[in-house]
Amino acid sequence: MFDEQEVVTRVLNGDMRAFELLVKQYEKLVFYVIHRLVKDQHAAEDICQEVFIKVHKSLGRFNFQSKLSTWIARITYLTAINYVRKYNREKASEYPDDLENYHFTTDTPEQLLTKKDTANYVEQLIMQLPEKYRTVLTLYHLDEFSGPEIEEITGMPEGTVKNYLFRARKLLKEKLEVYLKYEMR
Amino acid sequence: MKELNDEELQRMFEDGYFSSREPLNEDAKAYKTLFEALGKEPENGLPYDFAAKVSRHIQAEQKRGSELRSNLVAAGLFLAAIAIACCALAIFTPDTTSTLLKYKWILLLLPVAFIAIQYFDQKLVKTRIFRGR
Repeated sequence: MFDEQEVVTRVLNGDMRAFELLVKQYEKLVFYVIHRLVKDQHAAEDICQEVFIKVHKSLGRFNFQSKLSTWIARITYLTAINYVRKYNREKASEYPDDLENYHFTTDTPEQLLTKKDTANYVEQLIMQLPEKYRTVLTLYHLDEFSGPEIEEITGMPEGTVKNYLFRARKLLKEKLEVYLKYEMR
Repeated sequence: MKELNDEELQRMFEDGYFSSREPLNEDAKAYKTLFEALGKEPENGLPYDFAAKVSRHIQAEQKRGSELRSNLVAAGLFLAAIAIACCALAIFTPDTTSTLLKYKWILLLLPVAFIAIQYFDQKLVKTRIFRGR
């Protein structure tokens, strides 16, 4: 079992094997967030590496006030957001304020039918959502963080997190209903 | 199954209260599929040796940092030794001072060349060796 207190102490004493254990423990968590926020998949591995270098450098400041996973997820979120802002990969103005009015690009039935499977289709829809929605969906469903933990990671109030989750899932469900109807035919 | 609104359906799937025996309406079916898809891990991921790569990168950075520090200390000691030698020569054999001043540029160039060689060794040679691994 992964004992975070023991591993952190060993890393702080210069044990690189313990650091590798820490990376293995949290690499999926970090990758999921980076994968969903940074659309350039070639850059994803480099950014994951950057996250763990930051974790190694600032581990001395981790005071066990929160879970290590929450602390690492916050570093990951901030690094990904900085990357997205720095390279201006997506502009906030691309999305309407009211998400219900958002139009996905893969809307035609022909395009829907060419999708490999439902999970892939949902993934493509998620990648078209604004970054805040992608973040909360990933942290909640893939990394299994709770509302208060997502608040700690992203700095968004818990109410906003819940609202984003609800609106994103409702929108995705509506798109999925159309997809499922065509798939049934 | 009684008609539930989106909020109630989402809460039901979130809390795992859904029973597979219950017949599902269109909305519930869509939410069930969605929740399954949302929990599915992405197909691509990090390479299997990612942890080792990060560890090597950090160790190489630490080594570069400590080598730079020792090079600076060595350069400092070298300069101090030259300064002490020059002072000793000026005090004990004043005649040689003029000879030293004649070669002052060579003497100043030596530590600069030493630092430059160390710097390029770090920047070019060792970085390439590390990348090749």
